[in-house]
Amino acid sequence: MRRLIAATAAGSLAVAAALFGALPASAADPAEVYVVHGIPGLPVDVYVNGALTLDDFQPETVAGPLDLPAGSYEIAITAADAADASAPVLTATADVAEGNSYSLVAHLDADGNPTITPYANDISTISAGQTRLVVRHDAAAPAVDVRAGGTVVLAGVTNPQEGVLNIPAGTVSADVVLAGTTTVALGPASLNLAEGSATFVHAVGSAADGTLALVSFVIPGLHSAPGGVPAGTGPADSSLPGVALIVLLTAGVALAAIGGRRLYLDRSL
Amino acid sequence: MSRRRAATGLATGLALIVAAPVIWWATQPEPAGQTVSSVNASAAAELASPPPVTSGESGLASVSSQEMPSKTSPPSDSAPPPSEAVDSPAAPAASSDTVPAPAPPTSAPATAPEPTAPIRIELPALGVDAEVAPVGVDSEGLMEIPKDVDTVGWYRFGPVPGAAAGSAVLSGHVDDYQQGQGVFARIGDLGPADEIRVTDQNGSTRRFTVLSREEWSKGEVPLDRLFDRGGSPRLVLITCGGSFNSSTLGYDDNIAITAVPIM
Repeated sequence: MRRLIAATAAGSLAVAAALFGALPASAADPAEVYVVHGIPGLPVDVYVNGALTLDDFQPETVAGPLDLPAGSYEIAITAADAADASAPVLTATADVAEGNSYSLVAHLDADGNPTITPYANDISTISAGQTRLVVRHDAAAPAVDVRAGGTVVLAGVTNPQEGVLNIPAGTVSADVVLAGTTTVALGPASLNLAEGSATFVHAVGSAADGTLALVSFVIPGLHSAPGGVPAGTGPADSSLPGVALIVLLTAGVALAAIGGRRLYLDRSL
Repeated sequence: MSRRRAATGLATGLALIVAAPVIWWATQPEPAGQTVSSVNASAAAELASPPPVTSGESGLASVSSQEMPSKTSPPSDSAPPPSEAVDSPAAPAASSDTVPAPAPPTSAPATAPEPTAPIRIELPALGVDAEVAPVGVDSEGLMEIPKDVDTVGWYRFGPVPGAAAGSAVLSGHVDDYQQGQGVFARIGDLGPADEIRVTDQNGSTRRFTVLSREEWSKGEVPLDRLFDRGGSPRLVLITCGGSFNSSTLGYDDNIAITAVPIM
């Protein structure tokens, strides 16, 4: 039932995230916006500048990326059966810059109240062999630690903070524990983190209501080439020629010394 | 008599002193690296995808699901992926309730099975027939090369040979200081129209024909082009060449052979 309506008529299309600290962009690239629904049990409609953009948007899903021209957008979220944007549950203003990537996350704050948090997605190039894992605390839950393979990799993350890891690509067993404890709040989840991709994981829902869940999406294509190809270390070493050299030199010196000494003694007779 | 024998001994000794270093020098193994002329370099460059935009590679972004126990999104089964809908710029804002998903590109031509990881390479012109193993990067971010000089490494983060797009990279030793000459020592002898055959895990053999041969000093190797994951489908063989630098135990150059599929 989820429907997306894309609009391109000048300026009329719009969803957006506000943002800070994103990357410089080349001109004319639209912004990309992912919309994450992290409020349990509440299908919604999303209006951008008054236009219905996401209809009957289901909890714990992701929509996007929406390609948006740079600009400032009014976002209104209503109940899914609303006729228009006149009675929003949540509103936000979002500014997006050219060529950048954003997440707009509707979620519960630490106290369980619905809110919207915009994030800049780190889509900078990733070193060869590496992957990027971004974990966002968007749940009505206390501070948490994120563990990978049992080791804490992000400590003391609170709603709505995010933590960013650039790690070797591969499968990671990750879980979320209450900060400073081993009490598992979420997981473990087996994450297959592809090389050159960024995986954005959102912890959403409410700890008190037992509705914690993970919502994720992946941005691929951030890879880079290896730094070089060291395909040779030179000719094979062998000690034989060196040993032969020493033996021959020794023999030569000995013969010359003996012969020379004898000649010298003969002459002096 | 003894005087003559003494003179002979002296002469022999002196001759040995002179000859031994000469023999030693003459028997030192030569570095196997070649220095070759570049052929068709511009043709190889034209196969690359356009230079990346400074930020973002936005066109590549997409949503995909992860292996997570909880509900993750978006589903790729029943509902049309949102990215497909919003990627159609022609859809007018208010005109429709639903945006139909474009028909998925269902299957490749039936005659061409999907390529899988390569396990064997043959270079008939050089008499090379070698195993291929997947490799990644080392701790310094350089491409790994198989320890065994007789094995060729396939860069497993890039395309497989035979993929629809991008540069599949195979690299092999020119030589190794412990094992001697490597399997790719003579790839600089390959030239246009030489054939390369690569067999994958499923036993499918794909044929390529050499398009270009290039050599650069290591600081100038177009790594982004050689490891391009887009652009025309191609196979790139890389090894070392140029002068051997005995202080760094490495070569000054890289040699690359670019080949294209024989349809």
